[in-house]
Amino acid sequence: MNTPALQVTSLAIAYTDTEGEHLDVVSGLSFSVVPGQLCCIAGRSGSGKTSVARVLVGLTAPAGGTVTWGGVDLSTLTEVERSDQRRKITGYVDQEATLIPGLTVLDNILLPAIPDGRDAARRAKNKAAEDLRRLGLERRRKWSPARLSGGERQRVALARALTANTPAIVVDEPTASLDRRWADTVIDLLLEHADAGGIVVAASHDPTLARASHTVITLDDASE
Amino acid sequence: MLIITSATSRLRWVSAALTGGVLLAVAALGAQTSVRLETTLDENWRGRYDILVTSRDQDFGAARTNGMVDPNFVATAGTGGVSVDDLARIRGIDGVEVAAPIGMVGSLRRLALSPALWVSDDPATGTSVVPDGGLVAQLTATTVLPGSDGDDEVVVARGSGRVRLQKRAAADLGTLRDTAYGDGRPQGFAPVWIDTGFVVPLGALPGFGSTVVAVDPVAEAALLGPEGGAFLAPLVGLPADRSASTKWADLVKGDSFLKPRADIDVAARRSADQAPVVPMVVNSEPARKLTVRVDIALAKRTFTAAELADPGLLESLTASDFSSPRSVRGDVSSALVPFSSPDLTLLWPGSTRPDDDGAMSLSQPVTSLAPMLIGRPDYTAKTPPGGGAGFQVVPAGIVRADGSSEADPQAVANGMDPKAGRVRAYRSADAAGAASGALPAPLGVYTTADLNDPSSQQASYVPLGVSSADGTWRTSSTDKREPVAANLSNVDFITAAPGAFTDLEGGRTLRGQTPIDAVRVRVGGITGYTAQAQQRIAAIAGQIQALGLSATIVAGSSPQPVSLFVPDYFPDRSGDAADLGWVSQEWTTLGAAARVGAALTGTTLLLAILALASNAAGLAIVAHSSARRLRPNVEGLRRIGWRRGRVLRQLLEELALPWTFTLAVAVACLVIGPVSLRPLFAAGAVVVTLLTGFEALVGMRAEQTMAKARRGAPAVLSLGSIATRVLRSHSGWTAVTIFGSSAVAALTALTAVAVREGWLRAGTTRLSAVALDATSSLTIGLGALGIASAGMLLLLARQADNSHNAAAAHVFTNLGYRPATQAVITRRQELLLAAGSLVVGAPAVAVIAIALDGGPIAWLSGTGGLAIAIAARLLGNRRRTQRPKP
Ligand SMILES: Nc1ncnc2c1ncn2[C@@H]1O[C@H](COP(=O)(O)OP(=O)(O)O)[C@@H](O)[C@H]1O
Ligand SMILES: [Mg+2]
Repeated sequence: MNTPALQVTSLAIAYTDTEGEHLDVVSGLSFSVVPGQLCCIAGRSGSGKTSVARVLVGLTAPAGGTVTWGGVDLSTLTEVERSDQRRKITGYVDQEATLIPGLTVLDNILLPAIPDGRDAARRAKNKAAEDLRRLGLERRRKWSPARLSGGERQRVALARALTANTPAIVVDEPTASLDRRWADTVIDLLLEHADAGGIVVAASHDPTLARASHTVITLDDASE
Repeated sequence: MLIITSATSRLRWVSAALTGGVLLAVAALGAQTSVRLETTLDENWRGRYDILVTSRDQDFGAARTNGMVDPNFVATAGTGGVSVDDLARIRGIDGVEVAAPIGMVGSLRRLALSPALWVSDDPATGTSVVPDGGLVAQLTATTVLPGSDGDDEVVVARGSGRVRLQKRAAADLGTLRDTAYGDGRPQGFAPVWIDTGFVVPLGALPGFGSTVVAVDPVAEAALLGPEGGAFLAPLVGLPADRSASTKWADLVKGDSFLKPRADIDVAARRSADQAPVVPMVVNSEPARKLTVRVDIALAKRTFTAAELADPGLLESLTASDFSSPRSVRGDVSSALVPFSSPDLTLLWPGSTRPDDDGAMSLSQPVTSLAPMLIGRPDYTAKTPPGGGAGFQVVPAGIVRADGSSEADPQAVANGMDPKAGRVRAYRSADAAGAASGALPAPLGVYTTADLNDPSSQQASYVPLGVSSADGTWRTSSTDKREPVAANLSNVDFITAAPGAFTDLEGGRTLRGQTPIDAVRVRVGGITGYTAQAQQRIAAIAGQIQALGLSATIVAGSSPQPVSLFVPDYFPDRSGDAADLGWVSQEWTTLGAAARVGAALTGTTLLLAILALASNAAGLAIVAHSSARRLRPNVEGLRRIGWRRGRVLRQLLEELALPWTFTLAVAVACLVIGPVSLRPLFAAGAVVVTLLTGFEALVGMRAEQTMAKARRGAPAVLSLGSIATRVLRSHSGWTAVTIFGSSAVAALTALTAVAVREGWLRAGTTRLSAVALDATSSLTIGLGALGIASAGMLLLLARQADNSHNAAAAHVFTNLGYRPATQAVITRRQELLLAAGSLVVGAPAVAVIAIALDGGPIAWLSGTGGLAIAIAARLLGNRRRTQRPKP
């Protein structure tokens, strides 16, 4: 796996709400993650974990600083290039683990592969079987997302990222709705991905995940 | 507080507001339509009279001519009539305001009219156009009517003869040597020798006649209004003594040319017999323009004195002895004016009119009066090429130009061509009746303009019976309308303006005890087009029928163009009879008001049903969709321990407000809307209530715990199948889109068909044109309302689709789909929806067009509606996806 290293330098994230109030969520954040590492971005709720995760995958632009993957600065990429990067290099699992309601569990898992054509989708389908099995979802393959529990949905979203098999995975609160046993399984899978030469960045307030990580970046509470 | 319905409340209020809006708009448009229709009918349903009374033996064609009556219908030869006693009985019926009788009772004929050629030969002054060697000429006098556009003149009479004239010396005057100095063959061309020249007669004109109509001048003025009846004033208050002993000339007002005639005619016969006198007012305007053309062909050679003196000279010459002719023309229209002393003299080239030209006239100014019963044409059904109402007029025999059946042997002997000027008769003419030889006493004059009824332009116009303005048009393929006028025979299919009016007493003198063809009855105390007014008219018509007469209700009728095929019109132009072809006339359609009222009320009802049904369908879909979204909240309350009954109460309380609102609007419409639409609003109130109950019922049903698994559905492997799968997943809204656009198409087609049907059923009368004018914008508005209701559904569906798509777009973006890739999926969805709309909508349009026989208008409007529904969605979406992201 040819995984690009992640380098974050002097990252600043700020929001302006509708009343014009300015909120600095993160400032001066620098860290790097090399292939083979599971990095946990920790912090209390509201500290900016999700914000950082979204910046890492190029969904929002930072107020300052740079994010480079394999030396390429995200801010130099076009929207199309950032989309491709997210789909092929830095897979992203959002906190809500959103799935498309009209599609089955399996369909949702195949989504990242579909733009590459039918063959890619078929290959992904074969790989998905194993990922679903390991996440205990093999009997949910044809289910509609509406019928899944919160934890199941989270596991489906993770399975989707694993099946996409991008070198890096940015995952937001992967264990939040899971019981301890499934949380441990998920952590194992994330470590496995890192061990295989990938990068995993997990935004999480789960201490078990933080303990299992190779590096932990703790965000200060923005409101303090 | 909204606990269960908070999330769906906006949608519910939007649909309640839309429903309320549609209900109110239907009520307003419906009410406005019926008000306008009522006003139009109130103003236009009655002409000058309400009931047309005839004798039992006549029918006014209602059966044979599809409830239509031809414009000048008073001509009822041989079918009896209405007696003066009947008239008195009609006038005795309570509620009869005016009963105005009318009858065609006879014919005025001129006698012995002969145009002549004046040849100057005055030995006293030495002015003469006769050469020294004498003058021998062949004369052909042709009397013609102007042809209609592009046609030749119409020959009315032709006579020919030869004449020889010798220049006279002063000494010759006073000696009776006509034969030596002037001779003509045949006798009709024999010159009359006077001091200053020769008068060469040109044969005889036919004895043209014009019809005499009997009316009651007082009742006629009541019918027409004081101005319209003013020309009949000389007939009011005449002495009871209708014999020659009355000094009729004293009754002539002003210095009319008729003044001397009034006594002359009567006096001329006084000694001969005790014939009764018929007082009358006379049309002083010639019916047509009449021209005489004389072709003068001089002999090629000159003759010796001996030759000129030979009595056999004229017979001995052949046609080749004459050179090619030169022509002289003169207007002899005044020959058609009764009682006039027309100057019918033409001048030989080079001749000058003598000072004392009274001597030149060879015409007797005598006009005689004869009873004459003229029949109505027979019509058979025939469909005109362009569709619409049409008949063929049935030709009768061939008559001479003046309507007489046989050529006058005297005229033929005088050089008149017995075949020239023959025309086709379309009516019978019967010279039978009571007294013949009655003496006319002209007491006043009128012109055709006096007969023009100003009301003839109105939608409610009913013709008076004889004097409708000449309105026959030839419909040629070039779309040019050229007028066709009646010929001079009085038995043409067109009626000429009457030549004279007399009073009922005069009519009785001519035609006997039943001089009335029709009585036009106006009913008093009638205001608007109400059921009560119609009943009143019907009741009086019933009482008239009880007298043994026929009573046709004409109130509520209106003129409409009728196409008439006229066969065999030119009997002698080319040997074979040639058709005139199609002409157009305005006929009266009975029952037009009822027809217009029913048709337009029906259309309004139909369109209102379409609008409300379309709205109800939308309401049902919205109710179903939002009801399902209530279930999780219902479940939630049940889980935290609410009893089922308590939850239901809560839900009903929350639904009560929008329901009350819509119900209130429906009830308000029930009150303010037109009577004809009331059942619709009642149904609307019921539907709104049922749908609210339905929503509560669906909302309360436990959420299905086990959604159906998609067994066997293959995994999605392509962008296209993502689109298909997503559309299938919210099949409710997908169906709304597909059926909504089909509904737009179907409603557009149905609206077009309903409007067209209504207009067709309203007919092509003037009344329907006025009513359609007044209501068409409202009708179209009502139709648009139904279409807009279906369109609203499409908008709701699009909103739902948009929020679905936005949610999906969020996932796609997180997963790294390019914007263009996402657009592929959206576009595919839209194309699928468009295809679905086409697959369902096109057959819907086809079914309507074919099953309802909607014709091209249904196809056009239906496909147009479908195209617009689909295009609006496609284009709207393209705009949305192209909008740049912030
Ligand atoms: N789009 C946004 N606009 C404004 N404020 C935001 C936005 N997203 C997050 N925030 C605010 O930024 C802070 C950090 O949020 P987030 O990154 O979601 O924290 P965490 O994931 O650690 O809980 C919060 O105070 C949140 O309210
Ligand atoms: Mg978060």
